[in-house]
Amino acid sequence: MPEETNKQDLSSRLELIESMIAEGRRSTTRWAWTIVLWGVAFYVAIAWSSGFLGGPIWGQHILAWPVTMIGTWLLSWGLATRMAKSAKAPMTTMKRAILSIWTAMGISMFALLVPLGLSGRADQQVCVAVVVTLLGMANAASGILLKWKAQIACAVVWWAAGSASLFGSITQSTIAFLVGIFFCQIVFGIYAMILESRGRRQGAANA
Amino acid sequence: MENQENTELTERLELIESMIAEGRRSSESWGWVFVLWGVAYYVAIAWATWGQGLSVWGDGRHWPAWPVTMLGTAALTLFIGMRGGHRGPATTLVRAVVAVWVCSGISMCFLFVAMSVGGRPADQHLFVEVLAAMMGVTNGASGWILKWKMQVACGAVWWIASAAACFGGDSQVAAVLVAAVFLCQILFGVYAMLLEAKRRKLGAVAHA
Repeated sequence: MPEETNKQDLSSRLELIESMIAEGRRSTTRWAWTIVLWGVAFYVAIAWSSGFLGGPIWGQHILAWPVTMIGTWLLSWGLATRMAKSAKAPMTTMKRAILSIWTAMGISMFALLVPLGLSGRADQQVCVAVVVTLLGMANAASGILLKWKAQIACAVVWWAAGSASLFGSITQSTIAFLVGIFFCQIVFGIYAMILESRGRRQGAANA
Repeated sequence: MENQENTELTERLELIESMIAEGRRSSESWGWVFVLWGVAYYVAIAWATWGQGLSVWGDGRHWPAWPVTMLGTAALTLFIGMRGGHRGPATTLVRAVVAVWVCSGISMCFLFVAMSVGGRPADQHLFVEVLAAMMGVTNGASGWILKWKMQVACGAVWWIASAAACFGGDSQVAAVLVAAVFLCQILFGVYAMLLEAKRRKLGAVAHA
């Protein structure tokens, strides 16, 4: 009898885990616009600070990065709050785990990059490597949790960009960063948005 | 109909709560890893700066100290962890915490190996900043996932250490690392081990 209960408990657990993974992936695709938004924000900051790519990623316009990043953060926060208010689905364990990973990653970047900039010790190649490695870590953890190969591939691209940034010149480090943003923010973000709209259409057709 | 939905929701919540508790228990059983790595950091610092003032890796005379200690500790962790065996099916939360730590380890490997092979200046400040930021992500995320305030506090200590490492001299950076390791590895690890021992004792009493 207890063995049977145990089996039932295990199968209900597995079902719950599977449904949480599916819900987590659906939820991630609903937030795909933030991935694209941050990709565009990175491009704006790079273009602004380097005088439309005439120089290194920063140096020419000191306000470009802080203004773009804080502006994008406020915009994401405002839109996310509106979305969360209108959302009907409850917070699942999977969603909480993904949110925890990205929040912790954001705080780490803040704790690392702001003092680094203030202390005047920022080295472009190292900063790019650190930022993209942290992005790689968050993408990899989310991808493994959601069993989403496309997101794991993004993590590998970020890690490769991080390593590439430390070899070669500043221009090559900039190119590695731009390529990483293109594949892992713009292309992956649009892909997730397409999945989301397809899912919505299917949902509407089934209704 | 509504009653059935409520029962289903309650069951789900109960299951999630039990998963959180299981995740926390699983983390507590890995308390020894925190202590082991804390001691490894201390050994690496002591070996690298032997006969010199306090710093993270001294003047480079004992350069094998960090790679040898870190690789040795990684191998030891893997060996002891594998001997411990698999204790049951992993829940979503356990999988989430494992994913965070594994990805953080891979990230650190990529970054630190590329930094040293790529010929970047061996800057002690930068090393501590990055290490502390990575530890902040892992502890912060794990703590939030498991709703474990003590681990979130460790994450906060690591973030403060990461910010503090940007300022001051070599000895101050080393002092920041030593303090963070003491609080977040040694103390937290011992605390997790005590919780695990207490739970085991309670389990033994319940079985007797």
